[in-house]
Amino acid sequence: MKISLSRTSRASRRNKLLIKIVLIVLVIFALSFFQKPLKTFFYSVSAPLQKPLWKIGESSSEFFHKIIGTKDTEGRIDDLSLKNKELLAKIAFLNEVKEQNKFLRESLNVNTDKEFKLTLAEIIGKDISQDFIIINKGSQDNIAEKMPVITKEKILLGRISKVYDNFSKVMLISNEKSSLDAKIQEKDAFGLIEGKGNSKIWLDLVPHDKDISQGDLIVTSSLGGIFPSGLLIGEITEIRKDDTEPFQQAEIKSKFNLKEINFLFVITEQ
Amino acid sequence: MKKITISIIILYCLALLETSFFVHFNILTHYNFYFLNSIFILIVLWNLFEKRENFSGILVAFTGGFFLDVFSSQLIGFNISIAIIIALFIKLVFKKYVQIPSIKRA
Repeated sequence: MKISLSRTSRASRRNKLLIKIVLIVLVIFALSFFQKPLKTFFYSVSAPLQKPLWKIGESSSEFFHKIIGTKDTEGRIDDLSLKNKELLAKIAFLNEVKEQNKFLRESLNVNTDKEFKLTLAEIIGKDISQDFIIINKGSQDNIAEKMPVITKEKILLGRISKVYDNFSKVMLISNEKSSLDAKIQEKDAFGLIEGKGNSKIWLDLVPHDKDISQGDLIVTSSLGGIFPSGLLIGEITEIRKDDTEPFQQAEIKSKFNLKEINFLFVITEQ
Repeated sequence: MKKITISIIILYCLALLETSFFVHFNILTHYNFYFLNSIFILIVLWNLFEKRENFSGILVAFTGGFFLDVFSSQLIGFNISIAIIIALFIKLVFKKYVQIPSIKRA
């Protein structure tokens, strides 16, 4: 008698658990229909808390970074001052080219200056999978999917992947799903920029006959149709040349650091 | 009920911290340990130290997964499913073979 009772209680407990699991599955299924309103609601409620948290996190990580990085500071200062001198010389040369360019454009009566229509946005969060960021501008600010996102220095960050009423998700160029056409500056070579996740970017499909080297700058090309040409992507840090492969590859170091960016711009019109 | 309400508030705060504060200290995510975040740690600990018959661990897993989904680019349901599978595994399989003391009120 006792055995049969314990068996029935065990079976009823199992049934209860099964019912609960089925209920949870149904709730998950129902929730998937309300993705957009749910996310919009939580983002709107959380935005006032996320902004200060982002800033506190930024300043505290900088503080720890400074403590850890004091050893390397001297070496880095030397490297940077050397690079600074090189860049100053380059700026002087480019200023002269700019003047000549301006003079030629005026004399030929051609206007080739590209001006974008930009919308200022602020980062309020980062996805835990790292290669997405959340900005505080959405469809109410005329933001649409696939719009390019840049820094104030015209460095490419990524593109809008999802738009909500007051918020948008930006897929960074380092995201595994991101790929875009790029040009190697001053080399007349093109390639494909592919995100590898964890802030890693690779340049692929560069023909073997094109001579690329470390330190070459990579900019966007207008081939893909999404990004305007001439936006800085990064710098080549490592080249992989294998004769068995049809193309050469290179690792790219992106020129932006999310920790240093407070504001960014969405190109709403090209 | 009170315990569950408090846990929901804590999970919401943790989700906010994960997406806005802890992302600046990206040591774990750098090595692809995406699931080693404070919410999953809380879910595991909760289910480990709770009695097998109690259901609140599953609810905590559901809420934690929901907040992770809301603040991530995943579809709602992705992290919920992972969290519930972890909770069920601990309750139904792990605790069957490993004895862990449950926290009881005196």
